[in-house]
Amino acid sequence: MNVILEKCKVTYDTAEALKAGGKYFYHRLIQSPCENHVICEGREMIMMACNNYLGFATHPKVKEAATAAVNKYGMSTGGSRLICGTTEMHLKLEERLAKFYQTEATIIFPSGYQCVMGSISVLAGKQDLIINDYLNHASILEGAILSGAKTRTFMHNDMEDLDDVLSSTKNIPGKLVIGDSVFSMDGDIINLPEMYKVAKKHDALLMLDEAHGMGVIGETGRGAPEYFGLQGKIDIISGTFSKFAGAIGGFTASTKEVVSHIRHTCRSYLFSAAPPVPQVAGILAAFDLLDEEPQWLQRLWENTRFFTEEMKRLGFDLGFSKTPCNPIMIRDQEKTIRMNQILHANGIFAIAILFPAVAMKETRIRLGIMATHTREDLEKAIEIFKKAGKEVGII
Amino acid sequence: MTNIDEEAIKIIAKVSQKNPGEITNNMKLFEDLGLDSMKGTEILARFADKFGLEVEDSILGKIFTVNDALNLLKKKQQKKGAGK
Repeated sequence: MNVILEKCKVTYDTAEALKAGGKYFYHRLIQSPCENHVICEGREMIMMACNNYLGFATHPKVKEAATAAVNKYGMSTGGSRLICGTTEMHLKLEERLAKFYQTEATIIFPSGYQCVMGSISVLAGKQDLIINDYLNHASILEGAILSGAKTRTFMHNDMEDLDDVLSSTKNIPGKLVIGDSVFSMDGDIINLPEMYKVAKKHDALLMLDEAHGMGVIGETGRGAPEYFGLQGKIDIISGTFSKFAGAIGGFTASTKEVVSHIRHTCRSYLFSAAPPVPQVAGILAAFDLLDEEPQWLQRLWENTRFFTEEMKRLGFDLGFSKTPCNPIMIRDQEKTIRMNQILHANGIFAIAILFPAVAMKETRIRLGIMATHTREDLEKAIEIFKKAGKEVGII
Repeated sequence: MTNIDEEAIKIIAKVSQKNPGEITNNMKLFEDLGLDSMKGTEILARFADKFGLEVEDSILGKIFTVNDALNLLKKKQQKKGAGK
């Protein structure tokens, strides 16, 4: 057999073996909208795995805006913005984002992953250095590889270590320091004030991935810059609309020169079709909701506090999370799989994060709390977690 | 233990987020210290910075224990000395 096909067969056989053993909980069939409850494989379950934190994916005003846009523009602009033109909706979203993050300009992409990866790939080059937090998202690491820049890693959220790495690389003039604002697997928040100070001390550019921070942290949901009082100070901010807005798409916000450079040189932007206008319209409506209906953000945090306090009281290890993105640390591959099986069987839609996605001693169930979870949902979920935790022997 | 060994163990301890006193020569880098390829590469970069040595990333597939890492440094130091 061709070696490429052999490799594919190994992946196929591994996935099929997991399915046969009842250990495969990925790509489950969903037959309803992404709400606090979903119909999964014909059964109603409490959704606790998604990043639709504020519930905007199905908010009536978002659906109405998307419907109006599909009626006016259809599904697609027929190609890339460079070749086939851009609509006023794309421009309106870019202007809205620039105001939101207090930057000069922004550029939007069809997906967050391709935005972060693509933006980094053209910002740094072979002669430059990218310094990553150890837990940065895969799209950042991918962008660093594509850029051809030298890469270094500082230990997670350890700004003294960042300082040491920058001190040892003084001979490299082009330095780009990158961190997630909220870390996607652990739910903890970057120490942005120290990171900003250290980056400025060494004349390095600072880039923040706001994927899980935007719309979630900060008094009005304006992410880590607002949370730490650093609005308008961060050199480059990227993010996605797949979390707070419950949609899809990505953006990079920065100076007009940085944005122009990405717009005219980034291959994952230039060679991709424009973000669908109904998506753009829905995202604009989500931004309106953030200002007009602050109760969703408030409820998200009330739910997060209630759930995490109860889980900790029961003896669960929630790691270092400070946000609605919560790991239930199990630290054992087989126990994590077993826990997921029990949760699934009892109507909780959660997801096991296993080795090699995380280290063997870091396996976990990762949860996303939603503003639309009712108190009854959370109380029921806690009871099921308690039962599963006792059965697996982690509490 | 030489000064180089001590400095190297400090680097390994920092990246594996352990106290230097917890590190012993026979510890396995991946299984015992929980390193992955990203942290392994970072250790090699810090060796290069600290000791002024060229350490290729491809060497990572050939070192499995703390002792392997210390021996690698010794060899690199000897080569550097011989090259002077």
